Amino acid sequence: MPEDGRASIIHLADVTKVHRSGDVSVEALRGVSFVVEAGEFVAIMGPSGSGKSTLLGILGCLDRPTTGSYRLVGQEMSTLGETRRARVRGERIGFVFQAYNLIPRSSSFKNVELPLVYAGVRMRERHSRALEALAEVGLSKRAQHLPTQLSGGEQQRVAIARALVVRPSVVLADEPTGNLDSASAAEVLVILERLNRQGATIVMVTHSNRVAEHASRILRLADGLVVADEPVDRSVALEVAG
Amino acid sequence: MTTLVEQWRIALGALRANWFRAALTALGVVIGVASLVAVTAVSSGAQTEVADSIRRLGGNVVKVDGEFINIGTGQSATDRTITPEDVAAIEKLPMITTVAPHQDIESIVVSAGRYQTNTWLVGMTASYADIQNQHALNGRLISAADVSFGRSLMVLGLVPAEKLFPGQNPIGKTVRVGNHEFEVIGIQNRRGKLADEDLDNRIFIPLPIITRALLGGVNTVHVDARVRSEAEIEPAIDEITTLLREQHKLPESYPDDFSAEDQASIVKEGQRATSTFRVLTFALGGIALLVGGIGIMNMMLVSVRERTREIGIRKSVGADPWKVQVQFLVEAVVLSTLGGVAGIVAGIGAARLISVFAGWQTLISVTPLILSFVVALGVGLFFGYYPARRAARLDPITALRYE
Repeated sequence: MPEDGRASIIHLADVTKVHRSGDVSVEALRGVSFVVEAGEFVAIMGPSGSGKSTLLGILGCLDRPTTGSYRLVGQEMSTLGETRRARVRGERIGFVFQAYNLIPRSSSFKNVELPLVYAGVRMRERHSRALEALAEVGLSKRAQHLPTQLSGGEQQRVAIARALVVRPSVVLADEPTGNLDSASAAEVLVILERLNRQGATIVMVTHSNRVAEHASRILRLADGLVVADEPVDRSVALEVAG
Repeated sequence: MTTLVEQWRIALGALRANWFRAALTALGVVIGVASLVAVTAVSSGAQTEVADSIRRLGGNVVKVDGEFINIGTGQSATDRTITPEDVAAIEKLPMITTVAPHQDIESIVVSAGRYQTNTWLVGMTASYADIQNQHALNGRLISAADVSFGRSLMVLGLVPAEKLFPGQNPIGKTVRVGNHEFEVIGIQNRRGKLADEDLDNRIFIPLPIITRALLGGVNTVHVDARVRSEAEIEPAIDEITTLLREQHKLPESYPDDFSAEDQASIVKEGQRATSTFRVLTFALGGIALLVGGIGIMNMMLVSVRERTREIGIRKSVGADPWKVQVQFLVEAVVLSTLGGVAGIVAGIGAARLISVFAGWQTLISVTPLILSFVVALGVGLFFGYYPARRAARLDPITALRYE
C-alpha cells in the first residue's frame, strides 16, 4: 500500500458476495479481508461451499463483490464496469484453470498469443513474447500443436504460458493440478514455484494439503470467512514433497 | 485495425471448422442474391431492349389500324377500313406532320427459285420509310417514284432475305408472290421486335400494287401518323379517334371500327407481361434473403451456445463485451458476404443462361452487383446482431463453467 511504502498486489477489505437466484439468496462471502504482497505464493484452502471459487472470481475481476473493497495494485475494482474489468483481466491477471481452458481449434502458440491480441500488442512483439512464454514452460517444440495433440500436463503448461505472457501482476490458479496425474502435477507445481522465485505473485485455490504446501502462505476459508492465515514452513513442505 | 484483421481471421477459422454447416447456412443468401442479380440483369436488359426498339422504330408515331382482316375467310380487306379520304383528313390535323397509309398481308408464302418462306407483306409509300425510321442495309428503299409508277420492286427484311437467298446477295434477284414477280432492290436494316412481332420478318412493296393488283380497291387497313412532339401524342390519338368516327359516320352507340395507339406504348406493353414475372422473382429473392438471414441467425445462436466456454476463455484473457460482439458479428458478416459473392457469381451465370435459352436480352451492370453485396452484408449485420449481443453479454464465470 502507498501509506506503508510496500506494493500490495491484492488488498481485500470486508468483501461480501451474495448470490441470488430467484427468491433464494446465498451469502458466499461474509466479510473477507486480507492483503497479498508482491512476490507471495498464497494457497487458498477450504471445503467445497466455503466460498473459494467465489473469492477467486472476485480476485480475477470476473465478478464483483456485493459490498466491500477490492484493490488490485492500488486500483479499486469493485466499481469498475465490465469493459474496464476485461482490460484489467487481460493486462494484470493470468488465469490457470483446472480444466486448462485452452481454445480447442487454436495451436498452443495461438492460445498463448491470445491475451496479447486483446491487449492490442503488435504482431511482431506478440510473436516473440508468445514463443518466450512457451519456452519458459518447456514447450517451444509444441508451439504448433493443437490442444488435443497434447497431454494434460502439457496443456496445463500451455495455459501457464498463456497466463504469463502478459506479465501479469498476479497469477490466479484454480486447482491447477486437479485434473493431472501426480507426475504432471509435480511438473506444474515446479514451474509455479520457479515462477514465484523469479518474482511472480501467485494465488492458488486447492483442496489438497500437499499441493498447498508448495505455497508460502495458506489462507483457510470456511462458510465465507477467512478462518486461518498462516505461513508455510518450507522445510516441512520439501520433506513432504520429497 | 490490427484487431479487425485479427477478428476476420478468427471468423474465417471458426467458419472453416464447420464449413459444411456454414455453406448450407449461406445457401439462402446465395439464392437470394443470385435471384436479385439475375432479375436485375433481365430487367435492365428488357429496358434497354425497349429503348432500343423505340429508337429504331422512330418516335412519336401513332398507329391507326382498321378492323383485323383475315385473308381467306372471304372477308375483303377493303370492308371497313381506312379510305384515302381518312388519310387525307388525318394529315390535315395540326399536330400531324406525316402520314403513311400501308396495307399488310400478315401471312403469305413467297418464293425465290426453289426457296420459299412465310412472311408478312407490307404495301407502303415513301413516307412509311420515313415515319418508321427504315434504312437500307444494302441497296435502296422504295421511293416516291416507285410508288407513283407502281413498279414491281421489293425490299426484304433480314429474315426473308436469309430464307430466300441463303448465302447470296438478293439485290437484283426475283421474288415471286402469287403470280407477280418483284425485283429485289434493297435489304432493310435490323428492326428487332414490336411486342411479339418480329419486325425483321417483313417484305415491302409499293402500296398501289397490293391495293389494286393483289387485293383490288383503294382502301388500306393501316395508317401510321407522325406527331409533332411526344406531348401531343395523346391529344393526337383523341383527335384521330373523333375524326375517324365522323368520317365513318359511326352512331354514338357504336364502338370504334379502328384502333389508334402510340407505337412506343405498344413496345412497352409487350414488356409488361414479363414484368409480372420479374416482380415475382424479385419477391422470391427477398424471401430467400429473409430465410437466409434467419438461417444465419439460427446458426450463430447455435454457434454461440457451442462456444460458450470459448467465449468465457476469451473474456478471461481480456476480451471485453465489444470485442466479443465484433467477433461474432464479423463471423455472421463473413458468412453472408461470402454467400453474397457466390450469389453474384450464380446470378451472373443465371442471367447468361436466360440469355441463351430464353433469348431475352440481359444487362449486367456494376451498381446492382455492388448493391447486392451491400444487401448481403446488411443481412449478416442485421441477423448477426442478436446472437453477437448474446455472446457479448454472457457472464464470464457462467461461461467458463459451461459444459
